[in-house]
Amino acid sequence: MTKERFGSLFLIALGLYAMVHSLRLPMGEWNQPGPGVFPLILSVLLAIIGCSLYVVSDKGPRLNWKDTFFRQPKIWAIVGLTAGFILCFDWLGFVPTTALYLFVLFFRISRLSFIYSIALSLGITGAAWFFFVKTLNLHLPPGPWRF
Amino acid sequence: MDALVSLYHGFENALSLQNIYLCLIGCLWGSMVGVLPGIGPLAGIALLIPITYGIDPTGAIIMLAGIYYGAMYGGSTTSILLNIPGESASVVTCLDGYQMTQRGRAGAALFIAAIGSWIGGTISIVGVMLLSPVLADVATKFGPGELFSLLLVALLLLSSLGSSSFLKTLAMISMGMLAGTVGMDTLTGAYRFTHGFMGLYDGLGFVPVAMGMFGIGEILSTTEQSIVREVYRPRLRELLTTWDEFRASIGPILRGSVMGFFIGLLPGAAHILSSFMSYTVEKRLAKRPEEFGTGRIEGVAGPETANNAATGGAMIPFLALGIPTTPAIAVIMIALLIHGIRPGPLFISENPELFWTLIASMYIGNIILVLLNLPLIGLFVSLLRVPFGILFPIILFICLIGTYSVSYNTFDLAILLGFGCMGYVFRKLDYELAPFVLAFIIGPLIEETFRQALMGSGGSLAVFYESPITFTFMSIAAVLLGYNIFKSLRQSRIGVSSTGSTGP
Repeated sequence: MTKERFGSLFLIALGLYAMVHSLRLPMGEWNQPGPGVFPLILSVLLAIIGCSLYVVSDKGPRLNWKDTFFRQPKIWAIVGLTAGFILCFDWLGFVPTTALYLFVLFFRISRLSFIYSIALSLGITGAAWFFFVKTLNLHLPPGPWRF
Repeated sequence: MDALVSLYHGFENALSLQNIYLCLIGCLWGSMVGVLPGIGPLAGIALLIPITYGIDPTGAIIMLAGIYYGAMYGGSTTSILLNIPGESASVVTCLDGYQMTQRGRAGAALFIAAIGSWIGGTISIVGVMLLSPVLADVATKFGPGELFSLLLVALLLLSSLGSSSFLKTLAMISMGMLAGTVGMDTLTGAYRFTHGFMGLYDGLGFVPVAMGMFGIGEILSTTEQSIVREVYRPRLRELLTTWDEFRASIGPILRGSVMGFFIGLLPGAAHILSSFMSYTVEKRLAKRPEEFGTGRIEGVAGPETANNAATGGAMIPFLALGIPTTPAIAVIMIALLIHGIRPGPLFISENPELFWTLIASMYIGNIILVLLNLPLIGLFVSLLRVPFGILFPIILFICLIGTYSVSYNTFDLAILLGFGCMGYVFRKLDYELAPFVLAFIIGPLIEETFRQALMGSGGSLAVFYESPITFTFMSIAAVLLGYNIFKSLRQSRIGVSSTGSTGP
């Protein structure tokens, strides 16, 4: 499948989903358009664009699934780590989550030395805590250790 | 005369110690953001939004606007010294700027880029000062029908001027507007696309969507490439241009200022378009166009002036009509909304002090930028020596905290990550992201005006063409649509015939 066709299929799928959802919303009258009208227009437009792109994009570079999306362990590791940060943020608190997140990124993804990664992550976390919590008074989650 | 008196009062406010300090911070941060590839003005502005909570709206917009035009200044540095555009608008500067560095004229290129940026920026501020109140005055007479047709023209211009295909840009606009419908419908209170998630009841936040697509998406894309930088560090005494270089730059700077300002009024990639247009014009006007790309100073002076003049032009639709034409301007708009101020036709009449102080601060900011950028060039260049492996975790972390601090909601962080992945995938598929983000912010206004216009006319579609203003805008929209469809069809036909002729 070409890269363009993959994109167009995504547009068609999104258009169809939005169309189905919009049709469940009240449409109202011409003089009182309901909340479903605008999303319906957009979803129909999206599906039409998707179909047009599908038709005109049979030629072009092929999508190499593995190289494009799956042979990027670094990318997915960053996404996974960030998801972990989000899940732990409220529960563990700002300081431990940040220090841990930065340490893993420096040590595992950027391949810095263990000591350098620890020093950098602790230094940045401390500076961020001082800047965001002490200087800007942002209410960041304190976690069970209250920091 | 009234304008001069108002400007005088604006200078009185802008020259307060706090406002100068905020302008300086904005310009400094903007220059740094412009220098660093991977973190653009949008992320730069969004990151400082939390800082603005504790300051008054005037100080907030002064600082955020400083980042916006400061980033354009900074963008040229990496283009000239490293052949890496810090900003997409500085791509064209690489062509001759880097060649000048290779020939030992980096200092002169940086100097002329800074002077051109200053002149372009200052001329465009005069334009903002003179045109915004007039345009706002006209716009106060607009009803929902007129506003809807104007926004439609803006979106069609956005799709026409995009660097990717018309259909792809139109798809991104439709998706952006669809994303803007998520949450509670303001007219009826119905929930749309929420699927019972309470975090979606208020809709998708602009900051997580924009920061995700531009900030996280950019980081994910950049992480794939290993960047090794050889940084050239010019000395202060090398910054002076020769008389011939200076004379050759005057014309491109003046032409770039006017061109950049007017192109800046257009929505979308106005900065990129202005610098490319300026480069093309200078090449056409040159006696020896074949020398362009080998280190001609006109190839630096024109584009750099034009993209800075475009920042001023982009402020006009934002301040006078409430239409953000670039994603970075959209973030400034969000920051103002957080402070309870809505840019639009009534903005200048309701907040004259804020408007004139902003204008005055932009004059001051442009001077600060010249003073900052030339002597501190070494400092900015040093930033580029920080390895990306150290830089990207910090940028990711700042994106996360910047987003969290807007609403104190971890659900927004999930949205940030989701849109970050989406931005990454769309980059891979060669879709432009800016139209999505702009449509996301303009979308709710388009829907509101569309429905209000129909309600006001009792359901008659004539509301969209019966007044001279709507008729004019709708005619422009029809011409734009027709032209783009024709262009797309012609391109696909050329593609088919060329494949046919070369095929087996």
